[in-house]
Amino acid sequence: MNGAFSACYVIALQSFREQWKNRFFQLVAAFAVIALYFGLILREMAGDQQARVYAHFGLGLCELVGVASAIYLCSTAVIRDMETKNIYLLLSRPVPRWSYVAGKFLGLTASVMSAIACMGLAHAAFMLLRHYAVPSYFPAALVASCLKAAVIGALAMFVSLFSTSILSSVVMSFIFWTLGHFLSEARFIAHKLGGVSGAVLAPLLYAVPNISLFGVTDALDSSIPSFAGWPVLFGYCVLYCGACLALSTGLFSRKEF
Amino acid sequence: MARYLILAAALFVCAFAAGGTFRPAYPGISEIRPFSSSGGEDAAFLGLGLRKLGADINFIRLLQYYGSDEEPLSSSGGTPDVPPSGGFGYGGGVYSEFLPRLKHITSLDPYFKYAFLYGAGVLAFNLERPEDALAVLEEARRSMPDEWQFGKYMAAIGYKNAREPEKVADVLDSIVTQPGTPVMLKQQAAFLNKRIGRLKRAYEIYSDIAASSVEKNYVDNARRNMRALEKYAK
Repeated sequence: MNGAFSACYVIALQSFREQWKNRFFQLVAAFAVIALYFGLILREMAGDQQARVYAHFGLGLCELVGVASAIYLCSTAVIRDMETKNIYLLLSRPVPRWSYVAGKFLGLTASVMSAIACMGLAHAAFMLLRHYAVPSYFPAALVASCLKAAVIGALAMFVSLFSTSILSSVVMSFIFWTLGHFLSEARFIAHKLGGVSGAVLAPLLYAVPNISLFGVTDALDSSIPSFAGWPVLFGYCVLYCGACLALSTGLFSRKEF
Repeated sequence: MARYLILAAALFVCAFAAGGTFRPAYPGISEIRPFSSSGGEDAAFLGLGLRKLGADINFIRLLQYYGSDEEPLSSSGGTPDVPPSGGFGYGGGVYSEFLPRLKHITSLDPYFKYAFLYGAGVLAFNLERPEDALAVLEEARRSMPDEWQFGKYMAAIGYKNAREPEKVADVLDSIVTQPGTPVMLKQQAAFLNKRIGRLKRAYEIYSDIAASSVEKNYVDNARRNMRALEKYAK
């Protein structure tokens, strides 16, 4: 069992390093330039609300880039390894399938989280340079974005293992992500539909991640606190990712290499 | 495969029990009051989890709309134009889209305090629509019952309707000392103080505007007034 965990760790580390060598530094640099540029525009447009607009813009951009990266990287992880034949080298050794799936996911998620952290730091630095007060919920919002990226990344990895192409996998994951913000409405519609459609739709919606749970900016930047609490957020993230990884391992173990 | 399915099902159930039924304290997509054809854009903002950024962008559009030339009288159904009361020659007029745009913003983010204060201030003091301003503030109080400024603001509008400028100035004075007060309100308070002869206080508020605002028009106007009131500063 120790060997399986150490294989998982090695795969995660390798995956993390690979991402930083490939494209993540470029992505972070691009973010820094975009944030600086938009900051200059917003300065002229937002009147007395420059700090608020700039904070929300930066946090939104961090999250979008992070989640989009998580979807893309996790959707292409296994396929890329198959194309480069790395997977044959790996699985010719006594590496359990779950170690490979979990290692890949952890490595990719760690690289996405580190990118979000770098972007957040750059954004905070720009805010301080412009003498804007960094909002108190800023670090919490970044952590929540990381958790959101992990949840959607796990889902994307699962979807990529049964979808027919990278594009369909990315599109499906994106749909689940946006649907995750409207879950209560979607459940209401399913309930109202009734009949066969409602009966089919309702249980499916229980498997869609409740992304609004991670809307920490909304929850903390309001007069009525609606924050679910960190234990709930972390617990939900771990359980949901675990469920997706279990399904991914199940599908992956049926593949023959 | 079966054991992974069972494990996944158990984990999904636990995840759902942990946070699956959570609902944020914000209006859902069906409760957003769209402006013009903003429905698709609103859905995109909410779907991407960028509700507050959506409210911010629409607030910038509101500022741009209110900063543009007022509508010709013919397009507003012949409503008589209202002379500007802001004290320095702009801000009044007919802006028929102002209230629907503001309602759209506050339905996206019902905790956007600045938008409520700014919108109610423009409606009450610049556009001479105190009833609309009171409705906006009532909505703000429902969203943020602990914010005392809204009640004070309503009192100021009441005094304005009763043509009691001293009392309006008193109430506005207690609001403009708070951080995050719209500069437009400070401008109004300074102008009222100047009009009723409280020149030292007017000078102080203009100084605050000149030191803290980033809006050039307001800063220029404040500096101009500070020069005129300089002898009353001490």
